[in-house]
Amino acid sequence: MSNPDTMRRLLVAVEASPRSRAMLEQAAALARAIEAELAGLFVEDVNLLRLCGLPGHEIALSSGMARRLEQATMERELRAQAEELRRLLEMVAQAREIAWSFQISRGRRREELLGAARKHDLVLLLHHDRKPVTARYAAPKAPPSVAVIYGGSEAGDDLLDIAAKVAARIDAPLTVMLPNGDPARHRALRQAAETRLKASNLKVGYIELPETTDGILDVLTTTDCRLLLVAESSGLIDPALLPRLGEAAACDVLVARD
Amino acid sequence: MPIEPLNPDQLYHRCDPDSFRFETTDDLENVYQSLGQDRAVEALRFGVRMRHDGYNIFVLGPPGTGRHSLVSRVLEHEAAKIPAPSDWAYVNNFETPHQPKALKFPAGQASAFRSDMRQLVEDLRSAIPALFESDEYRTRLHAIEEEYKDLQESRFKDVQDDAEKRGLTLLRTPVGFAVAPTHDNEVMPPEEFNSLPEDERTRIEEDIKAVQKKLQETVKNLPIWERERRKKVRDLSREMTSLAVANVMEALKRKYRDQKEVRAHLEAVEADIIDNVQLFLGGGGGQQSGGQSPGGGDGGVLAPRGESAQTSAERRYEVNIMVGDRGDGEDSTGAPVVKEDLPTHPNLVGRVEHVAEMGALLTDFTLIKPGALHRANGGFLVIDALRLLMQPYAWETLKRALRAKHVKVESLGQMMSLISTVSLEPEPIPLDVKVVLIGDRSLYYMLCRLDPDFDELFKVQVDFEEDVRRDDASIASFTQVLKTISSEHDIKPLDRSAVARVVEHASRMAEDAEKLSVQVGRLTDLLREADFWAGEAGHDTISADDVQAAIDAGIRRASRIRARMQEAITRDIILIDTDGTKVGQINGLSVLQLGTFSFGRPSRITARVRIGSGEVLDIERRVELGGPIHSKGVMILSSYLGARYAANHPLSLTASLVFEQSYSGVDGDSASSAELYALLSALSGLAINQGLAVTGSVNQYGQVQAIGGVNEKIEGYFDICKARGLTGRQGVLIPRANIKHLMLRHDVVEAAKQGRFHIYAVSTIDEGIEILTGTPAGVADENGVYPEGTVNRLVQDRLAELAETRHKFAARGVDMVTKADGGDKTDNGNDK
Repeated sequence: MSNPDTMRRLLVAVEASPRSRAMLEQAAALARAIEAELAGLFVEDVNLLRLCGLPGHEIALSSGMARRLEQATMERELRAQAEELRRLLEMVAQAREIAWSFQISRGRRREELLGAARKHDLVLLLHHDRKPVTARYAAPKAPPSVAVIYGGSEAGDDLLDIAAKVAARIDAPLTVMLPNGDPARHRALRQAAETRLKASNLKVGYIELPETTDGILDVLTTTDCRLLLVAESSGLIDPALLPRLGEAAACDVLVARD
Repeated sequence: MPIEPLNPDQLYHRCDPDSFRFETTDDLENVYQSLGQDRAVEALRFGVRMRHDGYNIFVLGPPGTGRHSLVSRVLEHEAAKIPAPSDWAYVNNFETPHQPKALKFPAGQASAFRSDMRQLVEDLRSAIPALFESDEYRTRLHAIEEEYKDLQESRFKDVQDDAEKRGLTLLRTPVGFAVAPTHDNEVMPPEEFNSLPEDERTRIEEDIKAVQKKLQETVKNLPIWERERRKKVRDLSREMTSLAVANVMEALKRKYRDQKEVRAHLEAVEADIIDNVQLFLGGGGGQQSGGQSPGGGDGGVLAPRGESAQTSAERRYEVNIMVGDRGDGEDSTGAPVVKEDLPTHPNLVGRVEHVAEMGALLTDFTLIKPGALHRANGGFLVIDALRLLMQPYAWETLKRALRAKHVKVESLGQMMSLISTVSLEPEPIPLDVKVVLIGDRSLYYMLCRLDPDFDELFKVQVDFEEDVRRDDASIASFTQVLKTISSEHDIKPLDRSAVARVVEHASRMAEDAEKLSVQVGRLTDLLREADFWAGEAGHDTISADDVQAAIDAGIRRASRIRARMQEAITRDIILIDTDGTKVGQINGLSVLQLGTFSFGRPSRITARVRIGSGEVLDIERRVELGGPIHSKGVMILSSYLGARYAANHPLSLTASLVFEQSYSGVDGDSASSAELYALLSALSGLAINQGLAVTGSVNQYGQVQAIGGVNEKIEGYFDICKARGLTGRQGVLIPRANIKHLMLRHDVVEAAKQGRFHIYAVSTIDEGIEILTGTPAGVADENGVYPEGTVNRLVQDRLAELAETRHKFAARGVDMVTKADGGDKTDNGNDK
């Protein structure tokens, strides 16, 4: 978030699945909420292309029939998938009147995503089985919250603002997770967060976050949240841990980069 | 003894206003009277109460005799005594939607059942979604989802584990899965694989095949697991729905427990709701959202697809009332009396409407519309017979329904097998209706003659009278009718003079001084018009003058052609003598009917005679302008002449009779006496008084017989005489039998009173010829010889002379017929 006047870019990796549309809707709704451009990334997995030169067959999911894999066929199918996803992204983005872009790269998924993430302000890691983050929750019990791990930096402040905006938009409470390694820092962070959120009228809860990997995962597992926001620069989370955060909290994770 | 003109009192049967005990009709009570229709009322009541098959009713009689109002009154009176019939409704047939089921309800309960069903849908619309949002449902659904997710994952994990053990990995491809060898947790590049020793490559290939086989088995199981999962979800939905629906349905089943068919339908509804629970949840009707949809049925086979699930549920369980859909406060007692003004096939048996959607025409049981037979079921259906017969196939449709004793909603296209597309075939509804057809007599007799079914289906004829005998009792009833008409049509009250004038006019309408017309329609028109003229004159009540004004205005409006014809006569374009004497020429009288207006006009009839073979030539007939009845009259003349004057020798004349200046058809025998007078004049050489006109038919014995339109004929001739100036020598000869029909205009009666115009009533030709020629007719002696100087003697002598002449010609071998027809040796009676 080097320049607040510049529109943020929200990167989301897209892949073909029965829930592609729902997930893209989810990403588009979030982009709209935080006024960001939605950037879709489709990775042509190099491992799939390698398959074509190896022995063995592809087993079709619909019929169970085996067929010989060929390079040209695989490339056509990947292109078709990409085109379909691009069309879907265009549709959902236009429906919400947000800026969008779509990019195709070839390589290993993780590496390509990390590579693309460097050029974007925000990265959305979608969790496959979650409800849409922007849907209002109608059940009578307490609604899941929007959770943010707050480390106090400028990027952290920015992220706190985003979290507050999203929570207000979907009428969800906000859970602020504060590292509890140093009590004085914990108090300072809480005070800063409270000051920053004072005008928001949100229902805000504060949770102490252990500074160990297992401790963080334990807290996330027991927290009922719909979206977790974390700043890469907070230093609290090992980048290698990022994909596991979504699994632990069973929610989407929005990673803010410097 | 000379025949005297009729007394003026005989020319008009006056009604004395002072005979009434009221001042105006307002003084009378409004009691409905069926004037002169006792026979019809009796027949109608019989037909209405006779409950056996085929005793439907045909009301016959001329228009305007009050058939419709009398039928309505009697039917409504009788219908009120009959219990209200059952209600009928169409409901969805869930097994075969194109054959909707008909449900019967006690009177007035169909609407309640429809309300109950709508309430049911409304209740379920909130109860069912709540059920599917309950923790119990969510938990159990989640458990099923997890079970199958775990099953799939564990099977794929087995494959994956097996693959990993063999140094392979399982990859998701765009359309399925593939197995590949790995190196350092990455798919082995092909070049690396190819560089492996052959036995190593062979081993990997074998391993890949083994894993692929296992993978294939797993993939092939996916649809089976999916089916199982769906079934479990469906079973869960059914279990959850069953409880909710059963709770709501129980009350309904209890309410309708005595009605077997309704109860069966409720059970079918219950089963269908459980199968189609998605109709009560959000989303489109019939849409399936993969594994998340709790239901699994169709959203309505024939239902329009563009509607929401909620609308779809309303339509699916709707109750379409055919009979008994009464509004709030509408009377539900008594049998219905339905009048169908446009008895087309669909208006009788109902129709199935369609809605256009995306270029296709769709329908369902809610679009079935009832026909007149549905609405009249259990009661009475009144139809105008002519209108019914004019509508294609409507008569056949009605007969078929009456024979089959049920009403089946079927389009003409279906009935004629013109349409083969799938449409609705609603279950026929049992029919118990009494049909009342109203038509004129010719229609009734035509149907009797041409349609063998007619007698079987319409056994009751209700024959309406057109007139009634005029006496004190009938005049009292007639007065009551006038009161009813004025009350029903918001007409000013009639004073006693007006009532008397209307009574007199009713006699004139009946063409009989001793009868009253009961053509209520025409009487109503007369009263309305009299009301108008009373209003114009600023009267509060209708007086005799207002009635007369209405009569005169009506005649004036219709009499343009009469005026033109009379003008042609007074201008001598049509030659009619009204004074002086002429041999072989007489004024006959005829009546012209133009629409509802008729008037009389004189026609000059001439006769000429010559020697011949006893033939009276009807020239009108020769040129095909004369009708058969006219010809019959002329033939009777021949017979009369021969039998009376030439009994002992051949009738040796040829006479020709002509209606002068007649350019259109002539029919009827009312001029036959006039023709005979002209013939007798021609034969006797005695001139006929041209101031007199004659009407009446004659028989072979010379008796003058009654004719129709006597008043119009007299008035027609009077108008001509009046236009030229009445001389006191003018008048009309009418048959004596027509005296009772005289209801002449006041100006004619007045002229007769003053001796300026005379009406003579004659019984025989002898009486008539005496008046016309001023010469005694003469009575034959025992030898059949008439006295000298009498008309008959002159005729007798003339015919004898012709016979003798003919005999002489015959002795000379001359073919009289040929010669006579050649015209060389004709004898003209006028020459004498």
